[in-house]
Amino acid sequence: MSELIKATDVVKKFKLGSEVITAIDKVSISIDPGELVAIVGRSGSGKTTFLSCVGMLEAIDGGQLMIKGRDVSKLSETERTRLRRELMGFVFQRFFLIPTLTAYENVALPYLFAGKKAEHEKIMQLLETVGVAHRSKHKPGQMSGGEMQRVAIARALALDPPLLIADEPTGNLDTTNSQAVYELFQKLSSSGKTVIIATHSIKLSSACPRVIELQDGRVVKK
Amino acid sequence: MTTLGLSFKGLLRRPSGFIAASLTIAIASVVLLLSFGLSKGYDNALLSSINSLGANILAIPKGCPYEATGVILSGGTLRYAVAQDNLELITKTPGVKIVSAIIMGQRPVAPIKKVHVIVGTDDNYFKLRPKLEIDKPLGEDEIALGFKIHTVLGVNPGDFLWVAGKDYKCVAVASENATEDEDLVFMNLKTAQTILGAEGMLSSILIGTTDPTNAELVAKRLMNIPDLQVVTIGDFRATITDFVSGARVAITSVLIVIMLIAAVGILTTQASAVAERRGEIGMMRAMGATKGQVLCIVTLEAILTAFFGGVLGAVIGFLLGPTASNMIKSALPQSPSGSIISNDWLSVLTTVGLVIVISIIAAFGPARSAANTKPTEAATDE
Repeated sequence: MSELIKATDVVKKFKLGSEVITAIDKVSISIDPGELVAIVGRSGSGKTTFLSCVGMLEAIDGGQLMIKGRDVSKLSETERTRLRRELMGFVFQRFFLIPTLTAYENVALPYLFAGKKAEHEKIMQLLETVGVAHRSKHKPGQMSGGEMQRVAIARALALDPPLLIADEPTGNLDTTNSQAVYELFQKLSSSGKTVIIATHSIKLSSACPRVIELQDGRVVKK
Repeated sequence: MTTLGLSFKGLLRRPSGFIAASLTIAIASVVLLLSFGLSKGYDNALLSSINSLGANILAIPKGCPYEATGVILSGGTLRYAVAQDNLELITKTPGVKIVSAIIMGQRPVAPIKKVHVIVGTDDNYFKLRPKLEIDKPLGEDEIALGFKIHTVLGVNPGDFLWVAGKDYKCVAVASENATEDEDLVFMNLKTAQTILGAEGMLSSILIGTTDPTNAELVAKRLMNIPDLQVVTIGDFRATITDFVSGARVAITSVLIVIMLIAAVGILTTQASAVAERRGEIGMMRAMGATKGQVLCIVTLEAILTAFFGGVLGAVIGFLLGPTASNMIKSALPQSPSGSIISNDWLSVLTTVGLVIVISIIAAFGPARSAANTKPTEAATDE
């Protein structure tokens, strides 16, 4: 099976005043379709930056990044935005649901940005999959943290992307909800979606079939 | 879900901020609409008053001609300092077509014996002012009434009205459309001169020329008559227009300040709204929202705020028009008759359109800042 993501000597640098910090230092990894991968490491190890690079949230400064067989290393911001919409869904520690929209409307948002008509059946099915269909008409303020994160996951899956990127998805959740979210990721992975999770949680990472450990921007365990 | 719907719901996140910004816009719109109405209405009322004089030239006693004309336009009275003998000289002046003598003064009128303006006129007066729709020359014991005073006193044609010690028969009532003369009591010239104790004297003389474009030349000829001040309506209009232009500059300055306040209101509201949702906007960008889409969402929020405020302000301004007109007129020493604030749908649309344009300009900075939000803000926002 050909890899979904292939990073070769990827470098990402940041300027901090006059100092240049290398956040990702020649990272090379491959991730296949349907894999459930945990990215672990201490704070400042480069987990979030690595996910931002893989998720095309920002451009890389060196090396090569291939996603679904396409070299995305030199793409413009507009091209990255378009490709991100097609290939990826994102889940963050803070859910960033729009507080004035219902759960249903939040899940429908990606359709608006993609210029597509929202598919009612699909949205309801997604809410059903993540277990919050009964909350479809509720606004985020009326839901628990776990429910909000499930809605955020449903939103990330709205346009049926092959890759789901989650940065500390259980950071704001209690044990029960964390376990439920993990099981959801497992289910998605089994259905063929690639899931990459950056996490501090040993429990979550140890449950993942593959763990990549970063230290000072370098891969220490693949 | 549409972009407009998303922007509208975005406004509901901070209802107090939305309401405050809309109210600022509404106040600005009220002032804007009233200013438009005043600018247009004052000109219209002034032109209507001037045109209703029915003459190209006004002969008045020596003094400030514009003040005198203003007094006549607003229904005030002039001293009786023009000798009636001048009428013959004026009539014989080449280019003069029609001449009407006027004496104006104030005398008590029944039933409450309140002082009213009485106007003594000759037969030509009603020919010069057809808008009055009085076609009958007034006899020595007859009067005609302006529409408003006829209504207030309840005196109809055929009734008698007591004026300064004697009963006079009302023979006509002026048209309701002749608002400039609605408060006047018209009398025979000779009778009015007697009542006012000014036999042989006049307040002013209205002069119509054979060729209206020739008024300046005729006025020059009339200036040779001693003790007579001659002013053409064109001169008077130009002077008043200059005065109104000066006032308009002052109003425009106030408007600019008000618009700036409204713009700052929009700018601060949108800037803080964008700063508050930096992570959320980053999430939208991560989901695939383009810079243009984010720019559009934030700009639409400003447009919606301006639209609600603008429409509210325009409605209030429209309803306040008549009251504001009366208030401004009561504050002015002399003003034309009729409403000096004239608003129409075009003014309303212009007002709403203008505040929307201002809101777009004001929101551009915050909208651009939102559009430039990096998608990584969603990952790093704490």
